[in-house]
Parts: sequence; structure tokens; C-alpha cells
Amino acid sequence: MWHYLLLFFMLLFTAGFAGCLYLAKKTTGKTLREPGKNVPAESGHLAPKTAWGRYHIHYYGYALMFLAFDMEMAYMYPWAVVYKEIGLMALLDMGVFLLILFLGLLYTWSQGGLKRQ
Amino acid sequence: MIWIITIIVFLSSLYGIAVLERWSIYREWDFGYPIKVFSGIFVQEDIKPRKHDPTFFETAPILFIAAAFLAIGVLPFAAGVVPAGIATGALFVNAALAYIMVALLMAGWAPNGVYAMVGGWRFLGQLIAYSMPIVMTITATVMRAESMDMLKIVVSQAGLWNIIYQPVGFVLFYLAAMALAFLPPFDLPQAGSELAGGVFAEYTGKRLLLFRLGRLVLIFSLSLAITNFYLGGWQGPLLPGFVWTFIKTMLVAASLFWAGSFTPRIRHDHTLEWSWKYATPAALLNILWVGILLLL
Amino acid sequence: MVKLGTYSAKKGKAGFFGSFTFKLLKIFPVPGMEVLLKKGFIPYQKNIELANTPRHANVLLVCGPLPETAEKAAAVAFAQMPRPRMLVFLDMEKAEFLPKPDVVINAEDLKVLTKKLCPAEIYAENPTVFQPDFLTKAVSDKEEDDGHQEHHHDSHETHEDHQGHQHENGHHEHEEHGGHEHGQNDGKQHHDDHKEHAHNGHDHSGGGHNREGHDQGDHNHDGHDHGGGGFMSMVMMTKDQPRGTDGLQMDRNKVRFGPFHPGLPGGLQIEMILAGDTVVQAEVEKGLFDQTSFQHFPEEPEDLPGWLADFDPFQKEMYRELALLALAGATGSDFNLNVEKLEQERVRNLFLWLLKFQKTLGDWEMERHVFRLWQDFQQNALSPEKFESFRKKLENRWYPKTRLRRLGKIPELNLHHFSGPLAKAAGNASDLRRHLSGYECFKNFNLNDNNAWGWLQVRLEEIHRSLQILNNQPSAEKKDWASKIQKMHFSGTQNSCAKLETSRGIFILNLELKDGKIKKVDLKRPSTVLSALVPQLTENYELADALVAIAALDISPWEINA
Repeated sequence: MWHYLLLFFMLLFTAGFAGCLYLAKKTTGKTLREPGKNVPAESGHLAPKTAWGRYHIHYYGYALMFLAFDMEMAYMYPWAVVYKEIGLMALLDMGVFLLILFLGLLYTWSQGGLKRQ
Repeated sequence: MIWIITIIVFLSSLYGIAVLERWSIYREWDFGYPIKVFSGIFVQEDIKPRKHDPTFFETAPILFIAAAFLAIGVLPFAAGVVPAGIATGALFVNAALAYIMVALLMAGWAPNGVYAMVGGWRFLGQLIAYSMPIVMTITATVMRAESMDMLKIVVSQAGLWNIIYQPVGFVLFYLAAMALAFLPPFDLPQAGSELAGGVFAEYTGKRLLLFRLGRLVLIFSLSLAITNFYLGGWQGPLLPGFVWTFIKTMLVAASLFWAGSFTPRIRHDHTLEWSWKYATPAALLNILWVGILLLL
Repeated sequence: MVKLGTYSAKKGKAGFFGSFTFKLLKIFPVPGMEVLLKKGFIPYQKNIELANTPRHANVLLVCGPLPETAEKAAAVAFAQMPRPRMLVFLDMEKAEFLPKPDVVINAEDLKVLTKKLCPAEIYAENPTVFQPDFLTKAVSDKEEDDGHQEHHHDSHETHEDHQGHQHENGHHEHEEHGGHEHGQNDGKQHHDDHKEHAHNGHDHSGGGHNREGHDQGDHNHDGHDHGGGGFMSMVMMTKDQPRGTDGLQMDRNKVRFGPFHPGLPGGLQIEMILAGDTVVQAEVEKGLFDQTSFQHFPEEPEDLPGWLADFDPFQKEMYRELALLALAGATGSDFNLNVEKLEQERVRNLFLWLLKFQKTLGDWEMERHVFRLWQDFQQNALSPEKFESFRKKLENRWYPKTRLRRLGKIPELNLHHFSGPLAKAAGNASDLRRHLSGYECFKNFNLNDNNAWGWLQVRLEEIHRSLQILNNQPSAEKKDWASKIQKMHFSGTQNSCAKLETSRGIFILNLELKDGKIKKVDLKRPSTVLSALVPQLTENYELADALVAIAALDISPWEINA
């Protein structure tokens, strides 16, 4: 319990450090408002239009595989801890599980899911 | 007393990594470089882009440095010296480092400029690429130690370091760590020559300072993680544990910078392709390898 | 001690940091690194760093005489730099759109830049705001423009009145403003809904937080906080957008990879329409550097070489030789090319291109290596063997080959328009130098690699050949071209067409003389064709690939017609 509290305090400490840095920064003077200064820089031009919008990331195939494997890894963590105790049975059990998922990966590969969409 | 030494090790490593970074690009040793950079950025004005997203803009640098710093909290510096020795240390490292991605995505989205946005989305692609190798190789080290506690993982390497026990795992973790810390050749988010600074382009002044400090802390935490997972942590013949940790961490950090000089920048699509076609099966084979070795 | 001017200094008094902060110079070069390198700059020095964006820079190093559009872009870059900033002019006295420079240096000072520019006094009592007219106008124009589309700025003016009420009645305000704006813009009803809901969608969680955080009166963000609309999905938002090649409708962004981009040749301006990560359309914007007009050519033949040489600072010798060749061809007299100077210029340009290309690829190691070769070449200490070993190293790097092989395929129909490395890589052309005097035993080389990797290989081979020619060349006696022109006979109508091949392609100069006066000048330059290739080449490429392909083309911004 104390360990997690310590980690939480580390988090607060970092935020506090950032806050102190910001305060110290105030001594170096204010930002002068000038036209064009707060427009995003586009290597020699102003970029006044918003950039937000629907963005096509071409890696959604990988993202789906990532989801599947991440769920698998969540199961593997406790398995890894007790592995040596249980021995061969553990290897075989998890081996079957991994094999199924691995076959899924191979299937995706063959169907062209592992490339830029 | 021990904590003072820990803090000294931490700060001097950060300083050393900054000097190493300058050396890796410009090939000259400049021991005053961190101070010059700090003072230069410290007096710069803070510019907030027009129509930016305020929550994300302010949170991104703080989250970045906080996530990197948090990962150090579970890594041991010497025998028995770990800030928070939780029982699931290995898992926590990965969990904390996941927020790096969140911070960079925020930083990419917030300034409302195309360069930053493209950089942010590309880094998300890199995350999907490097996550699997990291998680799987950590699992393999956990298997050897029968526990997720970082101290036990280091102690389990007393006879033979993991780098020799699981070489494939080491290589994969190393490459994935380079991708996590967006070091060249995986330096997409802040691609100097493609996106003119990318994700960090619109940050100046105190926020940029936090980002740069955060990057140093991130590289330090990754080097410390590599040292503890694969290089036996504080174990070594003559010197005390702290010194060995320091030496090993600095060597790993130097090699992280050096290892990037072999190829140009790798596109995130290619990183994804190689990671999912080659690295993930290799990581699974690594687990199998460790499993068989443990049974023998 | 450099005292920063009022346009560059911060407000306040020097405190703890004072003059130490400028110790590390982060230089943003205008118009690009190539011009600086040509003047002898060394980027790998102590205390010097090249910045990628004006926001991370503290020195703006403006180089040489710049035409008007370039000056405006430099002024924009200066406006985007955070203070304290230093404005340094190199070989230039004053500029129209930029303020008075803090330091004026010339080419010799480039080697001792750190001594000249630091220490600096960064604080001033009364800093002045840098507001050139065109910039203020551009910024306020764009705000009005956005007002019609997004009507947040319309609401800003009325928002200021309601500042006090805002914190309680967010919803109420929204209905009021909604009604107000819809009255104004009923023609674009659907469009307004679309934009309004878009910003609701983004910020419906952070509404309350934003207002507390920004009481400084920064009204720009308040526009997002109109909570209370509906939620509109991404698909609805992009209903009217055209479909891309993969059948999806995405939002498109117009981006400029402008004149001072660290990965493109300095001065090249590209405008792209990006749909996410892919390039929908890219085109080279013309007229940044080329300010010449062929209407104002000189009448006297003696002036022609000088006038042509002013076109491009990187190819002075080539233009001079081309002019002399044309004049000699017109009058039927002999002319021997100054091979040494031509080849030196060729190698220089190719090295500068290679350096920039390695930077675009993101290859630190090779960039440094090329820079060392460049330094050796400037001191005449580069042997072909040294270059050959570098070339092997470059060709053995395993990633660029696979990546570049997929880029830059020119369709067969258009191949005949090109000359130079692009044509040679496709196996389509022979080098003009074979037929010129002074280039005895010059053998052709052709490849069959119609892609960017082929272009790289051809250029490396060209450097190698030129180094060999330079090695074997006896040092030529100084030729006085002015006297050569005196010896020419001009009479009646004379026409000529002279061709010279450079690292980019073939230059063709057509001259028409009448009674010793020049009547018509017509110059065809290879970069025009190259820049016309850009839209076709980069269609549907990923952004990084598109930039690499454009950088590989080696377009010179001084050669593109306005």
C-alpha cells in the first residue's frame, strides 16, 4: 500500500516540479503579443486554418491485431509468474493458446491485413 | 543517505545523457551543453498557438515527464534500493510508459497545426508496433524470475545475465526501447527534416523545456530498465551496486544513441510491418525458448 | 557584446541569466543550408545548432540578396520566432520587410560566428512590436475569413460583452449566438451546422475548465466552448468531402512545405493537399526566387554572360559558359569550355544536393560523412578513391535502397521530356558532354533503374566521373572571356542554339543577334520540367515518401519561372 502511495507522491512531485518551473519562468518576462506569432509555423508561412478533422490512419489492421494480442498478454502475466512451478503442463497449456493466436496472426498476414491500408 | 546517492545517480545520468545526445549528432564533446540549452530555452517566450486545445496543450508536457519519471519509481538502483518495490514492478514499467504515447498524441493534437498532428498520429502507429515486443520480452524475463518484482528479476540473473540467457529478447527489447523513446531511426514524432520539428514544433519556452527534460528522463528510465531486465542490474565484482548501475546505464544510453546511426529514418508503416511480421513471432519464439530452458 | 534591437529583445531587466543564454546559437537559415554551406559555414561546430523551425531558433540568419517574396517569407519566420531573437544579415545591408538587423556579417565571419554573435544583451526597456503591414493584414484577413466559415470570431465580439454572464449560462448563450449566426448565413445552413458541431464534438468535456484557465483575455479558444449542440460523428462531418482512392472520405488539409523547410532544397515552395497522411495533390509554387524576366535582356553581347550569371548563385560559371558558347556558335568562332570550372561547379551542386537529401532521409551518419567530403572538396583534397569508398558505404545501407526503389517511377510516355539524372537512370539519354570539346574520352553511363534509387546512383556516378576529370585535368590558364567577345565578328542576323549539361539536366539557350545587338533570348531550364512532374509523381504517396521523392528530384528554386 505504501508503495503505491509513494508512486502517487512521485506523480504529484513531478507536477509540483513543473509548477515551480512555471513560476520561476515568470521572472524572465512576459510574452509580447505580436501579429503572426501565435499562428502555427509552416516553414516560412502562416498556417491559420485549423488542422483538426477526420484523419485516415492506415494502420487499423495492426491496431486490431494489437487488441487481440494485448488481451492475450494480460493472461500471460500471471502464467509467467507460476510457470516454473507448474512445469511442462504450463508450457503446453499456454502453447496451445499462443498457437491459436499465432494462427490468427498468420491468417491476417495472408489476407493482407498487415500492410498500409 | 541511500536516497541522496540515488538522486545523485539520477541527476548525473540525466546530465550525461544530454551530453551524449549532443555527441551522437554533432560528434563533439560539450560538457556545458545541458546548461546552455536549459538557459537558452528558459528565457524564451511561451507562445500559445491560436485556436489550440488548452487542456491537451497544457497537460502534454507534464504528463510526458510524469510518465517517464513514474517508470523509474519501480526500478532498482542497488541491492534492495528501489523507490517503490511493488510486487508487479515489471508490469508497472510498461503501464507507466504507455502514457508517453498519450502525452505525445495530446501534444500532436493540441497545437492545431498539420505538422504536429501528422507527427502525433505517426507515433501512435509506432506504439502499436513496439508494444508487443516490449510486453512479450518482459514476460520472458518474468518467467525466469518467477515473480514480477524487479528486485527478484535482477537477483535471478545472479548466475547468468539475461542478455545471454535470452539474446533474442534483448535485441527485441532494445529495438522497442529505441522506438519508444523516438530515437533515430525511429524519430518520427519530431522528425527534423520531414515535419520541421513535428510534435514539438509549436512548443516554446517552459513547455519545450519540460519536453526536453522529459525526453532525457525517458531515455534514462529505458536504459535503467534494460540494465535491470537484461544486464544484471547492480551486480558486478568490485564496485558498489550504485556505481555498477550508473556505469551500465550510461553505457546502454550511449549505445542507444550509437545504434541509430545505421539506417535512415524508418517510416512508421515499415516499422509496423516488420514488428508484426517478424518481431512478434520472434518474441513468441523467445518465450518458447525461455520456457524450454527453464524446464531443463 | 551584441545588443539586441527593440524588435528582438525581451521586455525587462537582465537578471540571473543575462548574456549567457545566447551561448548556444540555434540558427534558422534563410533561404537554406546550401547557401550557407557555399559560403563556408560549418554546422558541426561547438555552440552552434541548426534549428528546424523558427520556434526553436534564436538566430535568424538571412543570407544574400533576396527577392521580395523571399523577404516576406523571412519576415513571417521572424515574426514566428519567440524572443529573445537575433536578426543577422549576411552579405546584405538592409531589407524592406525585415527590421534593422542586430548584426551584419560577411562571409569570413561565418567561421567565427560564435565569437561574433555572443555574448548578447537580451533585455531591453521598450521592445517594439514587429508588425509589418502585410503580416497584420494577412492575419486579420484570415480571421475574418474563418469568421464566415466557423463564426467563432463573429461570436467573439459579442462574447466580450457577455464575459460576465458566461460562467452560468453556457447553454443560453449558445442558443442566442446560434440564432444570431444562422440569421446571417442562411445560405450555408448545412455547412454551419457541420462546423459548429465539429467543435462541439471536440470540446464537450473541457468546457468549464477552459474558461478558468484563460482569464488573460485570450479569446481565441472561447469559440470552442459552445456546449449543448448535438454530437456529430466523423462520417457525418465529412459527408461532402470527395472520396480518396481507397473510397473513404477524409478531411483534407492544405499544407505548405514552404521555402525554409529543413528537408527540401532551400527556397523551394511546395503546396500540398493532405488527406491525413497521404498526399492528394502536391505542386511546386513558382516564383519565389526567380525574378528574372526575359524581356529585359541586355543588348550588348558583352553584357550577356554577366546578366545570365546573376540568375542563379549556384551556377554562375555554367551560365557564363553557356552564354559564351551561344555567342561563339552565333558568330562561328571557336570556343573552348573551361572544363575545370564547370566540373567543379557540378560537383559542388551535387554535394549540396546529397547533403540535403541525406537530411531528408533522416540519416545523421551519412549527412556528417557527406559534410566531411564536402569540406575536403572545398580544400581540393578529395580524391576519387575516397569518394568511391564513401559510395560503397552509402549503397550498402540496407533501408534506403528498398524504400527508394518504390519511389519515383516516371511513366514511359513522359520520359523523353527529361534529361539529366532522371533520363540516365531510365536508360534513356546520353550525356551531352560526350560531344563537347575538352571532354575527350568521356564515356556514357546508363542504368535501368527508373526510380529514385537510380537517380541517386546516377548522381553518385557523376560525382565520381567529375572527380576523375578534375584529377586528370591540367590546370587551365586563366581565360578572359571579355576579350574573347571582342574578337568575335557580329554582322547581320545570327542565330544559335547552345546546350550545356549540368547536374540537373540540359540547359538550352537560343540567341538571335542582329547587327551585333541581341534581339531575342530564350532559355530552357531543366527544373521547369522537374517541377511539372511533382503532381504526378507524388499522387497518393505517403507524406514522408512524397517529401523524399521531391527532394530526390533536385529542383532548383532559382530556375523555376514566375
